Amino acid sequence: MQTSISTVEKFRQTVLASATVIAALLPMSSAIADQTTGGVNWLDPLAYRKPAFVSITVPSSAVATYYIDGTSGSDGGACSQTSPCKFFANLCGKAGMTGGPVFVYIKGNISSGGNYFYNIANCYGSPGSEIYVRPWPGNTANLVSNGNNVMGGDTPSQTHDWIFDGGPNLGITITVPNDNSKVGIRANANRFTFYRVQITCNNGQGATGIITTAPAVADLKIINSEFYACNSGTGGLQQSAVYMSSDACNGVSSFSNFVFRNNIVRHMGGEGVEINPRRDSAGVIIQGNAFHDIGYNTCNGTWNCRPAITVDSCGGTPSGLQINNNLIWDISASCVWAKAGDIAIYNNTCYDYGKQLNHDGTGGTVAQAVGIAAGNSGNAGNVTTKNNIIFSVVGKNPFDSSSFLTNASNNICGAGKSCGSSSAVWSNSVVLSIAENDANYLKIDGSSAAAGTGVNLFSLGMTLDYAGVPRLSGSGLFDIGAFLVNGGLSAPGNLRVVP
Amino acid sequence: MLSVALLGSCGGGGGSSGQSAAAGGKSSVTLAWDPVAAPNVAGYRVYYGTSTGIYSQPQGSGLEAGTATTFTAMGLNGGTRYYFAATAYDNTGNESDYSNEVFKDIP
Repeated sequence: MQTSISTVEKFRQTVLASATVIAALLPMSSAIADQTTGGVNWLDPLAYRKPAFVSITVPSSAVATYYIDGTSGSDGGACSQTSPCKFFANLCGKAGMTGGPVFVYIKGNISSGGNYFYNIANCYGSPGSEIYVRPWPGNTANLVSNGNNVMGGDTPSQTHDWIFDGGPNLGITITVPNDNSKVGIRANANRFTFYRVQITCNNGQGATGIITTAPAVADLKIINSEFYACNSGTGGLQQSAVYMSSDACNGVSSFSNFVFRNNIVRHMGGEGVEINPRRDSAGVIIQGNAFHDIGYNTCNGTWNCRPAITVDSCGGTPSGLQINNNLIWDISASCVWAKAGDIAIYNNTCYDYGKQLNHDGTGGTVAQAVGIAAGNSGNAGNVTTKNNIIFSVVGKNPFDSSSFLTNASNNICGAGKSCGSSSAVWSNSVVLSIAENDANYLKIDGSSAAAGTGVNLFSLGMTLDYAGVPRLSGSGLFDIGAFLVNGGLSAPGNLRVVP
Repeated sequence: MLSVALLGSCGGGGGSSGQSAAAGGKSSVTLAWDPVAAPNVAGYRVYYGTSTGIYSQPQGSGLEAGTATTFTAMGLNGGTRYYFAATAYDNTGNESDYSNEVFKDIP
């Protein structure tokens, strides 16, 4: 028991009391009701660790509204409410589909028909005037892949400006085929946003959920979405929830400004997210996500057990990479395999990694059974790791021996391990609970060795924690790991006896 | 809004808001605190004990004050010094550290 609040806590309370508390980095639209009140009703049964809700800006009015009923609509339909069309491609060329904004309501099983829309002109919005796709009120929609499933084309810098918003109940599903020659969606154009969408293999072996394969794919955003149930079997398929720039090595694919924020990625047999461009690519934010139960289904195959996040290259080099505030646990291999580019890895909680097991409990093969591996390829850059909790229950090292792990400090790792300067030693008392079903799992309180012992990274963009709580600004002390102390909740001040 | 709780001799948490019972011959004390300026605060809890820093309720099981910023503890034994602290909590299971501690000597 504490008799009084610590100096650190007093300072925290002072700063937080004066802070403007916001739930998200992005501006909020006042026009869409479910944006202001909806949040996300996560499917994950461990949803008490749900990522923070992020508001995005969407069009508040449209020049046209269309309807798609993938089950009973018509390929030649007018795309009206009384005569819905059947495919996304049916929209192309209709009024408003050259610049938007357009509202599109969808329901039923919408087939890709080979591709959703591929190299089709007159099928795009514009920034601030997007093609805004939502579930038809009272219904849900299921995007069923049955081909190459391209949204966009193969031309560099195609512009589409589409937002898919499943609403608070994740009412748009992308069904990933259980066929590793296919994917859920090839998002091969600029400025696609997938928001509050569920992407699932329905407990099949699965394939990759969302992939880019074209040159110069810009501004793909995946926010508040849930990837799950792609981990049946041990056949060695190397499916990922997301794969940025897949192509033949030294091919043409590249990207810029990829944002992966506040999603849940769970029960993925292969990787969580793989960044692997074939041409130089710039800008990756992987922030505030939950990754758990990753990489157990490839252990017996060519690809070995897989990490939660891979950054690699096969021709090009990624740059401007930030991996922050993620809550990562129960991983067969590494939390992060950082093999290419300069990468900042801040304030993540990486727990129970390197388990090196197949899903059947037998031993698996792993190339990187450490928390954060950097590799030694010619494309490797400087990997900076600060304020991370990195602890393996089975005793694996926090880092590999790569010379590219150049700047590590203020991390917490296991006794006898090395995780940089000003590091601290893990014990179970660092967190409030190590029981996965406990609401305080991996959270910290003011008595934790992680409380106030980090380095201040506010100026480097670390303004929120995993739960979306504002971090201290100015020169204040930082907590280590994804969670702020007590969820950033200050103690009541000025307790007094009323005369 | 004022919250009131009768302090039981067993020391367990869960005193209810608005309770009006009073033990004969025993005293009460009213506490107040400044609200926590955060949008996700769901309420406050009050902890008490007869030794400084040692409270009768496990953290997470303090006396429920609801969203009020005052609380009246009743049924206090005479000739005893009571120590009090308060916490804030949110609806996702987070609870703050303890506030500053105050005490009251019951005559």
